[in-house]
Amino acid sequence: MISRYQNWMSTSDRREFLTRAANGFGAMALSSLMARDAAAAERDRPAANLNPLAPRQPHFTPKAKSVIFLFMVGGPSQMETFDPKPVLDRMHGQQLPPSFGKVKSQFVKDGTPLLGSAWKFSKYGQSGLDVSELFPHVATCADDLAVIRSCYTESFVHAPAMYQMMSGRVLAAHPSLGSWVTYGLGSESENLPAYCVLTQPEGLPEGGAPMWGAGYLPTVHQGTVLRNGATPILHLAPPKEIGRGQQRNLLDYLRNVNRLQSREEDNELAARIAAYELAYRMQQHAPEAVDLSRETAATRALYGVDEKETREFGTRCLLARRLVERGVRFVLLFSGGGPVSVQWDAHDNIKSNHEQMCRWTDKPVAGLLKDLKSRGLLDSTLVVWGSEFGRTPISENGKGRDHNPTAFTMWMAGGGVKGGQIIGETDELGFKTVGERYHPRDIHATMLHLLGIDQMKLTYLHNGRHERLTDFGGSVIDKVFT
Amino acid sequence: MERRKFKLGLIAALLFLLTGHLITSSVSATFSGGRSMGEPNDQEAMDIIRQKCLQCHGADGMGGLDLRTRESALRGGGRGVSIRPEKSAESLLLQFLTGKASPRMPLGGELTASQIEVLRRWIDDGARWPEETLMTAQAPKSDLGRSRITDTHRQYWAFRSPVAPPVPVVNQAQLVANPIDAFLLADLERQNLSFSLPADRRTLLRRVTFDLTGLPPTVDETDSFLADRSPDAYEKVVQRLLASPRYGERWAQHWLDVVRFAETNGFELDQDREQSWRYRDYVIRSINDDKPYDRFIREQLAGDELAPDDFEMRVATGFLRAGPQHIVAGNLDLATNRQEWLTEVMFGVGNGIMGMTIGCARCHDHKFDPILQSDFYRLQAFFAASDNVDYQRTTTQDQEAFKAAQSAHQEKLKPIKEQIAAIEKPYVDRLKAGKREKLEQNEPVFAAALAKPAEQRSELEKQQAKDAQRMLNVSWDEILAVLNPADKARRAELRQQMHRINLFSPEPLPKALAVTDSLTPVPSMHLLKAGDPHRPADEVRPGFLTALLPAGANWDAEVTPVVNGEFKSTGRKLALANWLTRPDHPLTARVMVNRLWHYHFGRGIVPTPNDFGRNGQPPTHPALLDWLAVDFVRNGWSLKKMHYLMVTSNAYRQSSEVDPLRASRDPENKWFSRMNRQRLDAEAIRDTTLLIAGNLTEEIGGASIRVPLEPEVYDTIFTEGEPDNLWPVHPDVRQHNRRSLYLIRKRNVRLPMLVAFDSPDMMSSCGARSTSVHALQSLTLLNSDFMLNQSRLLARRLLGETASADRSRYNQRRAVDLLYRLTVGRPPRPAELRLATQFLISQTRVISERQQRNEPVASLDATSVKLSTAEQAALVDLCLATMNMNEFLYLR
Repeated sequence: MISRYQNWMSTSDRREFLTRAANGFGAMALSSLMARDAAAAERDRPAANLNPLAPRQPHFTPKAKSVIFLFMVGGPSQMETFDPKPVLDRMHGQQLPPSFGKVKSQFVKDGTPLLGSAWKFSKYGQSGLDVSELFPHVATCADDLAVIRSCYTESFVHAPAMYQMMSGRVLAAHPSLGSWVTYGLGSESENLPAYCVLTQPEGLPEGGAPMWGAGYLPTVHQGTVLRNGATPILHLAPPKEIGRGQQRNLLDYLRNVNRLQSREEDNELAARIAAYELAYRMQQHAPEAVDLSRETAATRALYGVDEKETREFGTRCLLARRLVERGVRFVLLFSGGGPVSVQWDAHDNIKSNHEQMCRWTDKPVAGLLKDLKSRGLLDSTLVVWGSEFGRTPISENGKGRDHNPTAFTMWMAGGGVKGGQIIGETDELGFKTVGERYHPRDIHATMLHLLGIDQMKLTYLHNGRHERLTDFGGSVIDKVFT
Repeated sequence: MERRKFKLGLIAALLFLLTGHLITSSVSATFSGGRSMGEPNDQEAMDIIRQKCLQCHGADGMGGLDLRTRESALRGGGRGVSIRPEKSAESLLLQFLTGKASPRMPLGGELTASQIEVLRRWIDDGARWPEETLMTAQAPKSDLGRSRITDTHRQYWAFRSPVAPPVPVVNQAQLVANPIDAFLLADLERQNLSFSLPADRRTLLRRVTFDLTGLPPTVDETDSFLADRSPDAYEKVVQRLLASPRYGERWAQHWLDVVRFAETNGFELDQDREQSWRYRDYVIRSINDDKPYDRFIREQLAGDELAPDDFEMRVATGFLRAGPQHIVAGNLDLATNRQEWLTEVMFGVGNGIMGMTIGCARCHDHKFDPILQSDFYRLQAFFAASDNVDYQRTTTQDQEAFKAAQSAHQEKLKPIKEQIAAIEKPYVDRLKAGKREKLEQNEPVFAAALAKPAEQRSELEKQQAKDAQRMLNVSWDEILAVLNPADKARRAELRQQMHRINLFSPEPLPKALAVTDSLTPVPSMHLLKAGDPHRPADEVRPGFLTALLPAGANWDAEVTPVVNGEFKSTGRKLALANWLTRPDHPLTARVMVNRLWHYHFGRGIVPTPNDFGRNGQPPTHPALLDWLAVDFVRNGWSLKKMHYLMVTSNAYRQSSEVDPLRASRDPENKWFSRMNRQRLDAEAIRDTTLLIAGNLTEEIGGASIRVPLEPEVYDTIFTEGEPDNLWPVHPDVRQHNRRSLYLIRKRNVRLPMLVAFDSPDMMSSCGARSTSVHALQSLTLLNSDFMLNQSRLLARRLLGETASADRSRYNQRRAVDLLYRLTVGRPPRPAELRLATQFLISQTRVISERQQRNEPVASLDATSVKLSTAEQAALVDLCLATMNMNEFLYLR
């Protein structure tokens, strides 16, 4: 084994560390001890730290401390949500003029008629941001949103585009955004996974687990899918045959035996002893984090937790706030997954699909923004809404739309974002971007920037190459925060 | 003009020096869009663009940006509009040049402030352009970069054939068991260091047994080794272990890591590769048979060309299909898919066999190593005719028997399917009727098209009718949503019945997931710009790495077609295989002996086993590496001989204890002044737990096993279909206790315990696993059902083996003693025995209290020893705690 743990702590630190490990840590925060040396440790060698999730200093003063990524699985339509296209509505039923170029998508062929939007747009907030009537609640947060209308990805197939939105590459196996963030910043939470994933109960997005995978980063950085119920983390609860006091006694015994067998300057073994204490604490704290029973009726109402249509997504949005509140660094929250009918993938009927998906998510998303704001958390929490691509202006199967990676809308809020603004534009039909356009790399670079990370300095040596999230470099979209 | 010509000439000369290219350029002095001809600043801007940008953003159009004409420049590239005339601040071009956008351009050579100022002024003046296209400041790449590889590159240590250096003479000759020790001691003595004391015999036996077989020694094996005082007692153990079939299983695991073998395609669909386990068995067999490594490599690259009628040789080529493969539905881009497969093949050959990151040269010349982009495609050209072709050799009889078995199977399913359909029918009818009604109401146009007889429909109506038909489709989730609870339950039960029957579906006819030359005529292979199959450039022929060829050698490889009866093949794969396994190949043997060293000693002589290039780490003991490589080849590429040499060295037999002297003089153990402690890897932890609980099913090979999966993990299996049979668990529970090597390797669904302990993700070659420490590992080892069950079985075993003659009680002291011998290979020390005894007492008390509160406790059903339930449960906890001990998880 490569002795990556040596030379990390001075001898006196080690003694203190072990003594404390032996005492079950008591009130001491393990991570703060870790953090003391983490700052001194070379950033390029994260393995030099015993606790890979100890909080680490950002490269510069961050605007945001944590992220909630609201991922709308399947590709919401830009012209039905945040990018009004009156010309498209007027040209409903006509053919796409050749001057717009050819449509390259997964299923439709050229020649299907243009499809106008069934919904009206209005201007909201002091900024007068355009929002469609599908999002009456989100519209009330208009002044918090920086809407980016000229996003694009490089694949019209779900999974590759999803991988690109999450890792910058169309191929799986690269570390996901959240993994890079916890790799770069560690976690503020000692008792919860640093990177939590909340999936649609009906199933996963098509990209599946690689969307929150750690790729070649250490596995500890992969996202942890939280389950419904009181034991959200795998193996969190002891088997029912082993009670809490019983387990405590077992852990005390284990600690004593391990101490007997290890030399005190042995950092790796000490870290293992500490890991058991962390595990024990996680067992106590994680169930509390997911227990919504102590939320007030007013808060629950904000998210629509007690209404049929919004119960499911509202619950997960509320959970996301509780996680962030407890120091979780990155929350990836999916709307959609499993059967096509539970995704934003409106191939057959944009109207019925988007009515349903917006009904489920509009109030919870607005509730999340408002709740974060009222608790003073929105300033430090970057909320991102987006998807793997948008949809075509031409119809599919009559009333639906196919995948369109050449233009779609995302928005950011909180965490240093300047709200109430529109960035980028698309052509008159919402088909392609016009002027400056933004790749997932640019979105990632911007998010890292808001988190205080220099995209060029966050690297990991893999297979002879210093890998980065924004391979080849993305551009920070300054307008988002200035 | 005179001055400019001079400047151009100077830059040309400089570029020539730097790149070996001669610059051919022509400059037009006529400008368009401008007030006057040839503003000096415009001309300078042109010069800068020509010299600094066009290499990539000319004809190559990297990133979609072509700066040769004003029109294409204004249009911009993939990142947006690059130049906005008169608005330099909004021009992407300038943002890239100043580093505001990244990467800062030009790559690897920033512009000076004054050059940037020239371009800024030029844009603000309107970005005027010559009428003609700017010529690329680049020579035609007729030699595909070949002339860039010089003797300096060829002299890189890993590119020169190894020559066995003389074995050093050392002062402490008594410490030399074989040449390995002499090489290591020579360096140690220079540091005034020496080997550590030998490890005690128990530690050594546990180390070497795990190392060679992935499992611990039994109590009997330990005792007999301790009792054997003959001088070659240890060597006999090593011979025994190398002859054990467990050895092949253990070392197959390592090879499978390297070739990132899995049994599914990966990516979103992650489809199963039926019968891919045959390749895994081939590897086990080859290693157990001590197949010479050169032969092993030749078979995996070109088994079909070596022996076309040999099924096993076809299976061997599964090596070329081991990596992930991206397969999805919809408008597929076949060229991209094929290129992705070829790229994976290059990763396999590059990382796995050559220990070079050849994949880096896919889009451009390698940034660190002398590997040309053309080298990547020349190597790839050895596979130009190859494709994934399953190989079957079955008789008509076999096929008919299989067909019969299949229809018998379908017969069994039929009544169940019919019952399911009967349950669904009224619901489907109702749903369809509802949909039809809605269609007629809301979409009269579509409904009318559908109502029309097919032959009378216009083109538009044909499409509308198709769309309408689709609107009437009823999906499984719609049916599930409307079923009444009784029907739903009945249907679910029937489906379970169906799935149970399917567990016993007929054994498929054997097939090899093979690769062979099937494309005729052989497609030409081209260098691909930026790795994009839609941007082919110059054609290339099969050839080896330029830097590994002697200067002036033939750049194209000699290839002899293979004709063997009916079988015809280009012979390209064999040519590559033969070159790779030449006795004097600089990489193949070095890379493999270094892999063996890495696993035995915990760190390679080259600490980055997959990267022998400049970005990897250099060898700590280059002479030793060369000596071993030469010795390996001299001994007929025998892995077993090399293992024997390594593990019988005194270096290997040292203690791993760190003393203050060594901690200060050799903190990283760079000089092997002690043995490296190693943590058990994921598979060893699971296998050992099963073994000591007396529960390991030892069978070799066969189809892979699905073991019960935590519901949390089951939920992560992607499907758009009904999610009720995504993980068919093997019906025979004994099979759940096979070694981890035999569990199905599904890329997207991995056992949490294996993941927690750093088993690799099988998406890219893994030459060295990481060793992480985190709380989720503790949760898995403490709380999983697997660990509790094995702890129970282990407790029963302890009771059974230490029961008194009348079986009325057990000997607690002996039970703890046995527990320690099983888990850490030694008896407990007095202090440990004391702690364990105290724990059993206190834990029994805690558990009794729980019983009084009617809480569930673990019990050992069917033990004949009389023991209170609380005492039994306490013993279970002791077993669980012991399997969480550091010493259990580490090899000292």
